[in-house]
Amino acid sequence: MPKQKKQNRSLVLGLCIGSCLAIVLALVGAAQIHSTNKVKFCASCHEMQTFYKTWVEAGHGLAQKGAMKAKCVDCHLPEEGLLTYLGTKAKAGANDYIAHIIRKKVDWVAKREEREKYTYETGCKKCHKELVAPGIPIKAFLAHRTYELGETDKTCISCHHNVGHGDLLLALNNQQ
Amino acid sequence: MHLLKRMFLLLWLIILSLMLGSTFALAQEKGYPNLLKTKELVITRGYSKDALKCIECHAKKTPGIVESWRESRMAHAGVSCYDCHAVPKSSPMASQCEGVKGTKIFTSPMVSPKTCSKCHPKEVEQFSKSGHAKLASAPVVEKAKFKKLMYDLEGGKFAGVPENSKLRLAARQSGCQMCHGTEVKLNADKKPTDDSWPAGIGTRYPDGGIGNCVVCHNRHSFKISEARKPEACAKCHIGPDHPNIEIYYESNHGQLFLTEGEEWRWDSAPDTWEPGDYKAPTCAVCHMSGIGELATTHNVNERLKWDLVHPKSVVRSGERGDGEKGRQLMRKVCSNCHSSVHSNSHFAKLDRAVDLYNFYYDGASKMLAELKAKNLLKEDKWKDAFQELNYYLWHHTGRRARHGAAMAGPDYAHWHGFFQIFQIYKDMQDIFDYRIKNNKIEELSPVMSTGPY
Repeated sequence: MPKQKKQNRSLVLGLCIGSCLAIVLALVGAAQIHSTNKVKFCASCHEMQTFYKTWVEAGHGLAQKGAMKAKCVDCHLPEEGLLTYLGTKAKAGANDYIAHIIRKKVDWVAKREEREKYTYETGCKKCHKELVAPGIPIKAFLAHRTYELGETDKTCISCHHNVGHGDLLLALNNQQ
Repeated sequence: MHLLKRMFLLLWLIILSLMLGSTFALAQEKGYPNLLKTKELVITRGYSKDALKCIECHAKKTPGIVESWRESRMAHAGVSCYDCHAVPKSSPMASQCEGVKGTKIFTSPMVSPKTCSKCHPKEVEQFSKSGHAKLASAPVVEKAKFKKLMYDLEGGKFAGVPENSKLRLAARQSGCQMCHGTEVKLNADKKPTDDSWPAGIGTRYPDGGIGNCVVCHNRHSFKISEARKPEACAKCHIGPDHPNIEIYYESNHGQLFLTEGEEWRWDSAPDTWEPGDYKAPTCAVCHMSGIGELATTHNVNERLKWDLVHPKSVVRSGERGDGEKGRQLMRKVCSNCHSSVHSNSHFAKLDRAVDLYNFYYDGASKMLAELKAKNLLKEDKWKDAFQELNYYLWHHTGRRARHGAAMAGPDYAHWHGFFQIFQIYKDMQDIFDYRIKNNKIEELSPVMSTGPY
């Protein structure tokens, strides 16, 4: 067999195996992304127990009858395109994994002040599309209109502290 | 016939008594609201059950507050006690009144700007950058010099008031903190201590909020018309060291306000309150309100060029604003009513007055530095005539001259200003010459008073 032909065949074979492997890996990856996006997965780390429990009881949680539910990743990952989403997910995931392995101590009370770093407005806006919709309570109208006009630096999170985890500070203090 | 007459008389009596009764009722209606009547305030719409509970209970317990609130814009917008006073249990200010004991509701009598900003974010952001927020309470909370003045001098430590006596707080509580604000301290029950709240415009709250919106927007009616009137500012901008309201009343602007202000319109919507609603500006018009092309601002520094309160006047920069831009903005305010010739002349007058004051101040500083170098200053400046005079030069007379020029109050620019400045300066020169010539401090210094006000 000429050398050239042999090379071509192995190339085709390689490509086939490579593609199959890539598809399998992509599927596994997608499945992983999907499964690690579940509340159950997030709550499987003991560090997240307080956050899970407070979420259940709060505005977006399971305990609220009739309310729209929002999972952890709906608020804590940016909805700014697939790449940013996956990038942030990978980074945050790795960070949390390492912190878990090395049993890193986290000052959650202090960390609350950085809430806007870990909660993404784009997530809020995925559901809350119209901030000055007809029927909005008049007291919310003023602030939301200021926001829509870009007249304030405040984000959804700067005002709506308690929607995700209720009185989180109270829960953290009780835990100590 | 007799019977008919009697019946007629009876009818008259009935009519007469009815008329009297209704007149009496009318008189009552027009007078101050009868608070006893509102004790039974029952509302069935627009509020949550918790919110209604607050309103109905407080209508009985503190009817005055609910009366004010009832006529407020807040009430019209459906904002009630609960929206501003309810706090999460974890809030450092969370306490419970009798009415909510045993429930999950926690409240605070203190409402910080953090709460106001939930609905008014822009206003609070602007306000926070102004001299009315952190900078206002900085002297009371942070500055050692001020603390010495409040506790040791005015508080009487030097005269023998014991270190741990509450008397030493009296001057701060009744004076300084009423305007500047202070840091609110809490009792074990999370209610404010009886010496740290209520306080003035730079109040620092346990929740981290700094500022006090109700200083100008009096609670609980929060009327925009009140904040637009000069009296809102006059709570603090008054007196021998910064007679701003007096200067305003003397100015042509103030004269028009005093003469016909009652006929002006005070409640136009924000940024639509323009000349025509008023004939002359109040403090708010020039320093804050939306006028012409300028939008409303809650940053009172924004339209100012000079720092007119500190020992030497400099063009504002850094945390005190952008002075050059400030002048441009203020010119835009003036241009709504005045020609550029008129404004140019006014600002030339102000800049000249500032330069003249600075000239005096530089001269005084030079003398002070020389005396210090030659060890000819007393350690206690309040027993040293030269240093006392130096203080009054900038803090009282100097400010009066500068503010008088800035807001067109000639009596303050002159009689309470430069007329006194030159005399103080002459006295300082005399003391300076004496000390240099004799290389000693005079035995008994004449003690300065604030002088005629």
